[in-house]
Amino acid sequence: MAVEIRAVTHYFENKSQRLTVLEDINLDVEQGEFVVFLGPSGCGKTTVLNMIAGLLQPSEGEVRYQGDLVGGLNKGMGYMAQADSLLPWRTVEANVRLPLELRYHAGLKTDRDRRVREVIEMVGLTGFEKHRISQLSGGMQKRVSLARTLVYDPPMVLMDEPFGALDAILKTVLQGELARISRETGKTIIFVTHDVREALILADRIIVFSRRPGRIAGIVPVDIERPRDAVEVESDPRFAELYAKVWKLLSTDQSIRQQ
Amino acid sequence: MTHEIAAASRPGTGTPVPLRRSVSGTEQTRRWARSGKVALARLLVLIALCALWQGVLGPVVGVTWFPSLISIFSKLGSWTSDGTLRVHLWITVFELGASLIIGGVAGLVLGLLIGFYRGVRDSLYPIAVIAYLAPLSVLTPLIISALGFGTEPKIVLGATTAFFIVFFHTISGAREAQRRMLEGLYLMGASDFEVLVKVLAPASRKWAIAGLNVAGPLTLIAIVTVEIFGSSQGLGFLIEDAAGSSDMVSIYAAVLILAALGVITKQSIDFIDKHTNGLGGSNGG
Repeated sequence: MAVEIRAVTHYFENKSQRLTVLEDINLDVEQGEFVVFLGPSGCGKTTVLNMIAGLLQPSEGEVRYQGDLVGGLNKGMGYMAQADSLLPWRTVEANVRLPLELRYHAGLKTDRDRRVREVIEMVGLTGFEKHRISQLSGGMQKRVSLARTLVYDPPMVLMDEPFGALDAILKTVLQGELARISRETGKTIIFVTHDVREALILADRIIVFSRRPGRIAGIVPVDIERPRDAVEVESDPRFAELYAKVWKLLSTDQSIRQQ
Repeated sequence: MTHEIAAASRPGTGTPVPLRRSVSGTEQTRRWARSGKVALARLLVLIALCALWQGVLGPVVGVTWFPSLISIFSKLGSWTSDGTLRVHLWITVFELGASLIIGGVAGLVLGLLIGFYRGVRDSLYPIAVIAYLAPLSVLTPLIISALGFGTEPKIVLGATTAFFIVFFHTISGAREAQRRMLEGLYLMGASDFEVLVKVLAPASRKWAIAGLNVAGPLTLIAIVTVEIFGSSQGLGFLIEDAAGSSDMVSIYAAVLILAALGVITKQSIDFIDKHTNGLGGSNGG
């Protein structure tokens, strides 16, 4: 099991009140699985991701990665955050190389360079190696982030709404490429989004979160055949069924809140 | 002048396509023509200022206060030939260089540490603000009486001036390096030292250089002021000496040298800026 989440509850406290953001989360993620956390904004999806990354410790319960309790920063995986954390003074190439500089001090320069070239090609950035980050469009910056996350070949990648700020066209293209890369590399991926369509295109399993306090409202296995074309998949009858199912889980939760 | 290479996406697909734009011949010619015009305009302004000085200010206000430019330049010539310039200029240049290096390096290192370690910032920052706001130049006589008439009191005051400016600029730069950048780096396996060197230092570089640019002239002023207060050598001494005998020609000559020194300082800082641009791994390994 790649990730085990057991009875995790989390709250933020100040002097006068306690704000519960997560309540009794239980979840297993298998090796090589593409899991999507889906839910409304502020439901604690990112909080769970941060716990897996070790950026945050749960108030109650435990999170395990490869069987080990996540105590401090979990450096075994890649994390692609919501906002870009690229270094603007570095070129595309130098940004992608950064994790290798940090991890493999003794690595051969030629090996590094080959690996950097490989990943840049994988995300479709060949020809842009020497460009500065500020010279790139938003979509290309996402590609650089993805390349930087993949370059050291982490067995698991966490992605927090990576395509959230992009336009619909670009989003579709990048979703297709992410699906391809995930298939080619066989990595465990946990992907956070509030876009139902995106979830259905990418996921093996969709974990639907309820509104705050975040609970797991339901788990929907996506049994649409792969490879899924980001555009054509929408005309698949199974897509429509699952779409309705996911929406029902999301809206049931809302009507509960309104009562 | 650098020319930005535009990057674009093929419409509709979002697939990146590299675009290279070369500077066309006519554009190049136009640019030369423009820089020629700018140079000419500057020359005209300079000539106008000299004419104003020589033709209007001198005759109207009096040559006592605005002595002829020829006398000022011949003074410069005689200082150069009799070795006066070499002795005094060298002393001031030495004090300025030492102050900027000591103050600049200390400001950079402490600024980075304070920007990095929250605890250090919380405990030291308020004290630094108070020390900065206190008018240190008032302490000049005290420092001179403690350290004598040599170069030490000038370097102490000069370095202090440079330190605070570079220090506060560097802290602002370190703040620019956002939390998510740092967290991301830690998750990739970076040590504190690597974060300091690979993120914080490059993020602060532009700010530190900006600080150095502000610090340069102010440090020069601080040093000359201390030299005027008490010394037997340096450009400040030259000014003080000339002022004692109301020798306006020498004062203006010294001011010209100071201006030139200021320009050279600025050029040196630009040089440092250009040659540290690649630090932080923008083009190397």
